Amino acid sequence: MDNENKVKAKKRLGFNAIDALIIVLILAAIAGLVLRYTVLNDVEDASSYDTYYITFKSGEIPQSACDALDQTAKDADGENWVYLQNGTTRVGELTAGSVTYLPSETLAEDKDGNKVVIHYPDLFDATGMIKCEGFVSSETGAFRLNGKLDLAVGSELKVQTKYGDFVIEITAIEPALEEE
Amino acid sequence: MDEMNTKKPRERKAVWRLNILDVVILLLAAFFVTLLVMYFFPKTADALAGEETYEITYTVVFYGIDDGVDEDIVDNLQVVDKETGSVIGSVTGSPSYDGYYVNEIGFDDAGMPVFKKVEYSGKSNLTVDITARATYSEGQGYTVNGTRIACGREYGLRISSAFEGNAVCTLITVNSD
Repeated sequence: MDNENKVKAKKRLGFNAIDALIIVLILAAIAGLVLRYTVLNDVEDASSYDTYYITFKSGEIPQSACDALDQTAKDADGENWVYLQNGTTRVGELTAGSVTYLPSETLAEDKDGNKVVIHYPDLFDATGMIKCEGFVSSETGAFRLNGKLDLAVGSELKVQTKYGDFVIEITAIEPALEEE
Repeated sequence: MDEMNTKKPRERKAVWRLNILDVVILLLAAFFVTLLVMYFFPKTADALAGEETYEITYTVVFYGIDDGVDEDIVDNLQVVDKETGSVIGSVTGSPSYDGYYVNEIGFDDAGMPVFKKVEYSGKSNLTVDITARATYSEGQGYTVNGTRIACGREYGLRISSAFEGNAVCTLITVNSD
């Protein structure tokens, strides 16, 4: 009887095929969840992304920064990328010929005490356009860049390009025309 | 027969053998770990893929340094990023100096306010060209020993024992592959 009990106890504790299957299923379920919320999530959403153009302003920057921005916009073959300063979140591509800049303005008083606009001699407000992918979120109504980052007019982003670092403020978000 | 019955059964040693289920478990575990690595360390895959390297020359300007600072910046001196402690290039050519100006609001002949560039006496801007071997990758641009080189970025630099201060990068030129 003792031996029988021992054998039974051994059987109870033994690792059998059913246990292995359960472990496999648990691992598969975890892997499935990870896939669902990482890789597949992006793939599914990417198919429903539309092309948008973000217009931005970068205020009170020196001439050298304007040149760096302009140089990026002129680069072809995907070298005109714009990323957030974390270096991993791609914003889009700077559109060729979109970069313009004008002397930055401020208000000053004339001799009669009236406020008038004056221009900085060495600081500029640059504007440009970034071609990007995303959609308007049904949840928030905001433009969701790459399905992840909600943006709106007025959003400020710290971005980097091949040649420089910039702080940009979004001034418009518009969908691309259909023929594009 | 009795002999056979009385014989103690041979104790079977527990031998672990790799079976198909073990293989499946191991594969799934490896797949799961790979997914986690890809998700939390997206740069790892890129790093394994290798990066391009280029020789670049970048210009930095030390704004408003005091005149009379006994700096002795010459060709080939090593430049260190004080934040990382890494060498991020060497001085190329001789540095140049120009006046340090500040903007002040004055009035023109018509009594309208205008910015006037006023030279700040006793201070000047020091411009230095630095050449380095940089790696290039999309999203990071040019990096030298882990320091991203970018226009508009400010660096705390030490140029050998000749000089140290904060400088802003104003230009990047790619010399060669």
